[in-house]
Amino acid sequence: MKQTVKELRYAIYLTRHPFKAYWDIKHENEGSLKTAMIILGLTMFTQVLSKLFTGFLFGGVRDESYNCFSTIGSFLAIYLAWCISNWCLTCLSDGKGTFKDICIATAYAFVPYIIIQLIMIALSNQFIAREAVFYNILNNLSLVWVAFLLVVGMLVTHQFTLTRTVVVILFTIVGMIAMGCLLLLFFNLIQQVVGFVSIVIDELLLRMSQ
Amino acid sequence: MKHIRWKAGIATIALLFAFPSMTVDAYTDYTKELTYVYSSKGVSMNIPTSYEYKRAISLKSLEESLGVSITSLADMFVKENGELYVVEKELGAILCFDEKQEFSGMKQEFYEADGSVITLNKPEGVFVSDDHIFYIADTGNNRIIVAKEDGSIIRIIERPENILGTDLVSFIPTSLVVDSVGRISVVARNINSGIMQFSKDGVFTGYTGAPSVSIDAFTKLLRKISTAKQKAQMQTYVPTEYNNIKIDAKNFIWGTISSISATDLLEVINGKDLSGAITPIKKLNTMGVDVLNRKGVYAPVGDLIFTDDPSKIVDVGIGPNNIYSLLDNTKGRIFTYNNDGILLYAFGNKGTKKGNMQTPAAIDYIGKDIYVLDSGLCQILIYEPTYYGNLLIDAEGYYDLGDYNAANAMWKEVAELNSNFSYAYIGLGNALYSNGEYEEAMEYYEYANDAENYSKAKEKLRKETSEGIFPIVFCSVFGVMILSVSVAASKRIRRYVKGEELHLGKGEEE
Repeated sequence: MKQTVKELRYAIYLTRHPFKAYWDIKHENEGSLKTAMIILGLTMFTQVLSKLFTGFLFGGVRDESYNCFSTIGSFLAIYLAWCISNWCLTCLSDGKGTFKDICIATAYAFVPYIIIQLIMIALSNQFIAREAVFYNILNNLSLVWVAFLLVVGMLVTHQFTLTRTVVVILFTIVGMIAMGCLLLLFFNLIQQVVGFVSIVIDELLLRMSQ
Repeated sequence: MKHIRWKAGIATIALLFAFPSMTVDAYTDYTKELTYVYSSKGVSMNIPTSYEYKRAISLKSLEESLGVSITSLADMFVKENGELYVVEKELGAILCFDEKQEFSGMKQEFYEADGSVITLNKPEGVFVSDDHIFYIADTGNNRIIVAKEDGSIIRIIERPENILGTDLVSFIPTSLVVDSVGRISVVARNINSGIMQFSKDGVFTGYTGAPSVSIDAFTKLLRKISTAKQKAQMQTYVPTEYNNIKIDAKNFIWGTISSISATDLLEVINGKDLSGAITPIKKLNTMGVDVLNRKGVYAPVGDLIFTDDPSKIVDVGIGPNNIYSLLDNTKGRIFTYNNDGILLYAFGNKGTKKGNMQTPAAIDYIGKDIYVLDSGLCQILIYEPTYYGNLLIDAEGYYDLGDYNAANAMWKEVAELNSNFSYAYIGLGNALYSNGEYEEAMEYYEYANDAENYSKAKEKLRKETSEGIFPIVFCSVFGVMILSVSVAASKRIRRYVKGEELHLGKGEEE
């Protein structure tokens, strides 16, 4: 417990000193998969919170049929796809990070998102439409920060050069899209096969009953 | 005595049987037409019947007594006191009805000062001023006739000399209005520079409210780099022309434009374009600027859902309490909007049923009643508001007057009768907002999905609360600042007194 709290505090330190912190997480035991999963959980929790409690003017959900599992599910799917795709690519391109390292580094990158989003939820209930620009600046700031941390995280974890990191990240995204397409294709084909088998069985049953 | 009781029993049973059938009748009342509005997502929603068919004034029935055939009615002019004037195009006559809407005479011939008789040739528009001067668009003869009630001509306005600076365009007036100072505004066919304006003496003074042609940057570039031959093949950008005009009590000119293509209209609807660059209705001030309010989700354009036959707005009727109705020639619909351009109700249909139209040509209000001229059936259809319709119109009126409590009560009733009508909640919100109850107003605005008004109410609320909180916040922040500074200062002073070295910045010491 004490260790986890210490690691979470270190995660906040990471937002300001990403190069040192990412190195320490991997080599000096300053972070763990457990803490990474807590951060991931907090990120999804914040996302649901922002859907539910963002002010009316900034597009909070007023729909009573809102299902938080769609938010959580889609985030988890993208997170996993990122980790797998990145791992596949970095294995081939001499990345020093293991799958566990990638999962940790990616999860730790979401810390600024959590902090800023929580502030934004509070502000969105106070701002009026004219002040939307401040809201958008904060929103963009959080995204840019997360992207920056993600790049640094990959760079430090895999011990890549900057150009190599950027290229790998771009290919990771391509890989994610390819994975999505393959999954879609796979499920589509399975559906076809199941449909075919069920039709054959129907036909056989009909013939037998005649 | 027993006998009577027995009879009463039978009557009661009979009544019991009669009641269900009566309620069924109420639901299957086929004279009531569907009334609807569009939701903020552009989906049509049925609402309670707002207007009902009341009666019709048949002009066909006049044929016998007049000894003429009435076949084609072009225009109708309605005065506030109930007088009606109808233009019969083929006959070249103005049919007049008095305040009780009884036929009072037909004007076919007009007399010049020298006694010569002038007749009309396919007239299409008429305007009658308060002092009963007739302004007639004598379309077939390319002129406007200004005449007194007895038929003596005051003035004939011919084609002005300086019209468009060319001799090719002929002057074909179709619709005209006269403002309170006697200026004549004319819509003429083939002229797309706007509405022609004539002074009181019949002198052409210029155009107003020219429909603007907007070409985007890409088209401009394309036209610049293309050859003359390519240009010739391109779509020509011709500004649309007005087909009808009306004038309201405040001298605003309302012009309708019926020649808008389905693609243009779909672009406006799908893009939720409220700029009014392409619009079937304009409200022009004396400068010729369109000042029509378009504050709804969609601009007032008639039907939002159609395939390739959009609403063709042929006329506008200006009603009480700043509401106005557009008459659609395609489906025979009447769309009523409020001052903000929000659709209150749409009703009406083409057909042969009682209360249906065939070729609607003109629309006008007398009080709250809607008068529609049907040129095909040669009759004037009169629709009156139902309880629900009355509520809406009155609520608008009370709000305009500033009687927010009365408006609030009415909007509440509207919301009860039609809980799907988001505008009722905006109305409730507006009433509360005007009373200074911002928090409650915000709730209604949110319910109606009205971000703009919500933001306005929130600003007021925030200002109010922050005015209360500000001194506390300011004092506490200032207090903390003073406290921390004084604590830091006292520490230093204590250290100094103790004889320790004062730790200033190193750079300063050197």
